[in-house]
Amino acid sequence: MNAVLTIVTGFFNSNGYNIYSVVTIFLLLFYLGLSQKQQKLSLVENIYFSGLTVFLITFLQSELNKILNWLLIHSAFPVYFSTFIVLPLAVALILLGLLIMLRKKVGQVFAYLVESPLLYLSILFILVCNFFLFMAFNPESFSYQHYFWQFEFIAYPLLFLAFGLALFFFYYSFKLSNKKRLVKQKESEYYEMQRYTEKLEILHEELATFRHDYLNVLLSLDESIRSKDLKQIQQVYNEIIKPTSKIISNKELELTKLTKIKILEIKSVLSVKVIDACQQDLNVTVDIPREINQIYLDLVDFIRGVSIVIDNAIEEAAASKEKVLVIAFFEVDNELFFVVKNSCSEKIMPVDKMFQKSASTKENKLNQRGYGLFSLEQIVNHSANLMLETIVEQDYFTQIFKINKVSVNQL
Amino acid sequence: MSIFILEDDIIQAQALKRLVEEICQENSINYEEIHVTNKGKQIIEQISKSFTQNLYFLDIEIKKSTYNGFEVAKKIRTIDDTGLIVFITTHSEFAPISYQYMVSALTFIDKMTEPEKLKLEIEKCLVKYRQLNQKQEMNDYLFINNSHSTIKVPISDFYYAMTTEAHRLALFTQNRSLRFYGELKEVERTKNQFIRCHQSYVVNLDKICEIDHHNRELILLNGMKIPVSRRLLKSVTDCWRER
Repeated sequence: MNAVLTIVTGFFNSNGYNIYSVVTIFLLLFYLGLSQKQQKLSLVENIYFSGLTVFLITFLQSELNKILNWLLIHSAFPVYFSTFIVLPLAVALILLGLLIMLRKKVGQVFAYLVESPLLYLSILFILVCNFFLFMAFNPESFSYQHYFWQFEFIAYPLLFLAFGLALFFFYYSFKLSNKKRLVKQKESEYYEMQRYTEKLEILHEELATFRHDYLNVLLSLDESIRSKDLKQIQQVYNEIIKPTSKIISNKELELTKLTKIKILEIKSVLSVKVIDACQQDLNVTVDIPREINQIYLDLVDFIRGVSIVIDNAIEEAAASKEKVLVIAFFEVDNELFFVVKNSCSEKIMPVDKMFQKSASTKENKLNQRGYGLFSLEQIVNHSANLMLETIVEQDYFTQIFKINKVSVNQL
Repeated sequence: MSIFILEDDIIQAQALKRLVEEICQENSINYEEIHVTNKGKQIIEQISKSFTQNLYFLDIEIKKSTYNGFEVAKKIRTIDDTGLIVFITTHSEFAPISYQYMVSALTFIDKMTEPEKLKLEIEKCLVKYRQLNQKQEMNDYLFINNSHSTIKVPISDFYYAMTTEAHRLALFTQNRSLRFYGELKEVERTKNQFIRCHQSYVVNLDKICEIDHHNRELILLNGMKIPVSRRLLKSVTDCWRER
């Protein structure tokens, strides 16, 4: 945070280029402090973020001032000395207002930016840009200022170009990471679907053999009972009937209940999670009483939200004593419920701490933590008809998505 | 104020009835009558005659009957939407969450648990039943119904609500959190014990345990801490003292 402070305030305090900008930047810093608290950005990311915003805003502000001044001078309005103080103030306030209004959006875009492949290149670029900006506004603080003035005619167009490039970076990395995310998701969906069908086939075969054997078992039992041969009955029971209990209680049979979901993408994602949970030796129960044909929510949002919740649940359940995971998906009246319940270890935090960004029962692994719940909250926040309920009971933790069907139809 | 038992095994039904009677005597819980039957229809006919809180123990698997326990529960809910429904089943590990939500059942009890534990479970239900009957203000709920969400939370559970984003609320009880589409104003105006203590917080006055003037924080009964704005500190303190 200190590093950010020096970089940001370093721009303007030397020659008082524009006190209003200093105010803007100060309030910006305030926002930055907030964003860091919320998203747990690393220091480099934070510097990059502030660098980018400072560059964009300072440049935009100086150019807007110039344009406004120019317009004013060429207009019929009387020009006083004070107008040249009021104008920058107005511009600064407008920019500040915009920044505050759009802060959530900017935060979202930035979450993508950090994931973009151009991250390091753009950090370098922004650092260089800021350096030039500093030179442009405070040339007298450099011993070689006369060089700068000599090349002023190139320097300004260059800065303009840099501004355009920075905007482009902003836009392009956003696009790129979004695209990558979509492609990745499609790929994994396809892969998951394949795994699901394979598993189903295996289960189906198992069931088919069981059915085939079952009749024979009955026949042989029938015969031994008729002959009242207790020994043979015992033998048949121990060798043939007893092992079948394994098939019947096979946890992976829970997987077949997913066939009630008629939305392929959801089915494939859930199947992978269920298989995963079974492999971790959890007691999985899938509860889907009726067919699910529609989810009344953006599919990608739903899948992302559900994945986050189930992943957390599996991790937590695997570490607990009872190792229970229940997934339920059903409709009641005009609401669609998706419930994930898992057993958990005793160390439970109060409900109102849980969603705070830095909160996690586990040690922070390189800022990886917190992103899951951060995205979950974003999904919940931008889907008006989605409600998220979190229940903390002794040894059990439940997350419930409630989707209001009616409000969608109204839209 | 009656107790209904739906069970097709006569021996089990009588055992359960005896158990319920015993527990009621030990805890001095009053009830009108215990109806034991193996026909869901009978229960449904009986309900319309009683007016107060009822408690239902329903076996899910009922043989030779048109309805199983779950369907009976659904029918009960159409007539009595506040009674306590407890499912009794042999396979509690299969006890599906969806059933519980569809008829707002209180809990599932596994028939196969050891007698002492079973008694404890049933005792819990009966104690809850008594609580409900003592609390006559049954409709004391925080009820929010807007175009996007419907929320019903007992007022005695409500701790505080806060805005997380424009039109987005988070509401907290002792062990639950709800995130939904709504306005803080909607919460604030439901009861006058709900008071705005900060631009984005509404708190239940009954849940305040301490007001920390120095840090400008409210400390709630369960240890939760929420901010109070400078502007509202005085009015919150006054209202809290009055209660």
